[in-house]
Amino acid sequence: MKRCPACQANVKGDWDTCPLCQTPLKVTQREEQEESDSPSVPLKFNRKKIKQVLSISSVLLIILYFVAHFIWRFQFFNLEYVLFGIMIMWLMMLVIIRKRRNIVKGIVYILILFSLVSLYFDYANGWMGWSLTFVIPILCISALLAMFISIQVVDLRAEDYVLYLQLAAIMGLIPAVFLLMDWVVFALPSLLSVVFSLVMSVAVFFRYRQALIYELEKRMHL
Amino acid sequence: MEKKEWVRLDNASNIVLAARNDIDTKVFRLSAEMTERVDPVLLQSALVSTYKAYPLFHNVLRRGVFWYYLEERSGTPRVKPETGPPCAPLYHYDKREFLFRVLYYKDRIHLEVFHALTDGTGALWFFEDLLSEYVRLRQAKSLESLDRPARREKADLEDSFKRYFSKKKTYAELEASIEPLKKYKEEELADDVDLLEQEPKKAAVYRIKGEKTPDHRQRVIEMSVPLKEALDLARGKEVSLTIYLTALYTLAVYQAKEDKSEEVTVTTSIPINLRQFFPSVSVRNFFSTTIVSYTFKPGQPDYLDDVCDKLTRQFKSQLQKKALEKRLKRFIQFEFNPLARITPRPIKDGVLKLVNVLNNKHITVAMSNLGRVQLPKGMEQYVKQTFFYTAAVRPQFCLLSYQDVLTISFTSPFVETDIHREFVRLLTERQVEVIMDVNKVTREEMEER
Repeated sequence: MKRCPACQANVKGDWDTCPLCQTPLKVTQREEQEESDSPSVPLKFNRKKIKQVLSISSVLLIILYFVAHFIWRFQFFNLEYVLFGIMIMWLMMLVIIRKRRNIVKGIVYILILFSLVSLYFDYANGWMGWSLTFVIPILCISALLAMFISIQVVDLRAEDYVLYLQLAAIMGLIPAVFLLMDWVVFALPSLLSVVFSLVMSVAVFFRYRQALIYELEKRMHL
Repeated sequence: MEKKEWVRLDNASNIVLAARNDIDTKVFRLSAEMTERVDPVLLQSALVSTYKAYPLFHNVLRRGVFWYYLEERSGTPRVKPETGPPCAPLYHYDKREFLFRVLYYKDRIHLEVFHALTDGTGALWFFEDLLSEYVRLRQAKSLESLDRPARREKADLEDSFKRYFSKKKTYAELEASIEPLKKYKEEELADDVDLLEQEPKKAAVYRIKGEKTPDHRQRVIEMSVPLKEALDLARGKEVSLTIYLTALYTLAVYQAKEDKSEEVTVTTSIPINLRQFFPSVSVRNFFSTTIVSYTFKPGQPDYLDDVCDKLTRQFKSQLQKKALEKRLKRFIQFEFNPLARITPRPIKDGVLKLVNVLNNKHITVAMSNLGRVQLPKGMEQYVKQTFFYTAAVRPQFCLLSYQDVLTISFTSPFVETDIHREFVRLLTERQVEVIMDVNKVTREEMEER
């Protein structure tokens, strides 16, 4: 074992200088070098890549916008739209990364996120009602469909998805309010969403009643 | 669908979860150095049978809307060769992972545990049983097998915080329920109020800063010293080993600080195993922490006696029954506060995180003494030495002794080793024989050879 003459202590492992005070180590009479008892672990690299890719593509998109304007010289749309698109890209990535371990949960988050974004955008651009007429009902239907498909494809346990499935089905009923209050231009998308969600909600409730109650009890305990 | 059992999380675990981050993973490690290379197959069989005896360890951590909870999971844990840095995170939300892992490397066996599952005592029980079983299986080869050790009396899922500190229980009920546990009581808490020394309000507590390690791994420095020499030193000052080494460490922190022109207050956070005062055989968390502090005034020639004296007095006064009960009851009351109950978990997490950040302002360093490892007779020829350390957000040291060796393991999120240098010199100045093992954390250190 080696010894640090300054610290007066024996040092294990393949150090040449004292790991504490950097004084060169002395080899003691006993020649064998005592191996360190921890493995040498190479440095891990951080997950900076996603951030990098997103940042670069964000900047590229903005540059592209200005280049397009420079070439065609008439205004397609304001820069706001581009910035908004970029924001959604970041948010989407965030949801996907955070919820990657439970795809059904991720879908619920995306449903809520995009509904709010479309509401805001509709409002910000002089209320025309397209978010309530088309976007939200269609989002609700596609979310339920996406969940239905992913449950078949991905190996998920009932306890992991029932609550989210039921939550999405209940959210799909919200367009009924739009219909009742007469906020929509066309009734069809909302109508479809309500019917589809109702069927799904009732089916889930009867098929998984026990699991639903048990999961609620567990996850909502005060 | 099969029903999975679940239990509420105990009081301390909620705080542990809030304090967890990439650097301080709240994972701690118990290691044993065996006298020969570890046999993974035997270790796996030992793990399976120990695992069966500890229902608590079958649980995974889940997030509810209002609280976290522990949920049983199926499957068996597997032993793995050690390939990564020590005390790597064990809990990832939405993943059903065991809250502990068993690793091996050459002649070492490691048990790493997430602090929300259990504390050092609970983990040490599991570890002792795992080692005993491993050695028993190992010896079966040579036909002189040890007997299976007597079954440990333990209550896996009991929440002792609730047993002792919830308001609902009447005293008589409590007394009756702990009657059979009385034999586990080791110490009586001090009960005289005179000792309560009101510390003057600390102006600013010294907080150690440094260069963080490149990939968040902990700097780990293991020092092995003869237990007897360390005990003799502590006895020489008439203090406990915990206090003596805390005093040395406090002094080392001060000596390593460059600017000594002003007063410097160094505080140490010390966990207390509540089982010794409030008899309990729960495997789950049952600990509290206390803080002792010392203010260095420039120009004093020798500090050690004074540090030992002050720390002992503070430690004793904080271990008073009334003080301890009051503190713990406050925590429990917070947990049962109706408003706190109906606050969604992410908000509670945020508040607890904030409380934790504020608390950290009063802490310079931390230490933890887990005491002795007790293994059945006849195991000395297989187990050479034991170690205990934890991931830490600030420099910390942990103590564990086995046979006649005391291991002092330092962990730190920083690259710097100046405090450790001062500490080892304080020891060797006192003629203590020290062997140290330091891990490599920077590229320069790794490329040195």
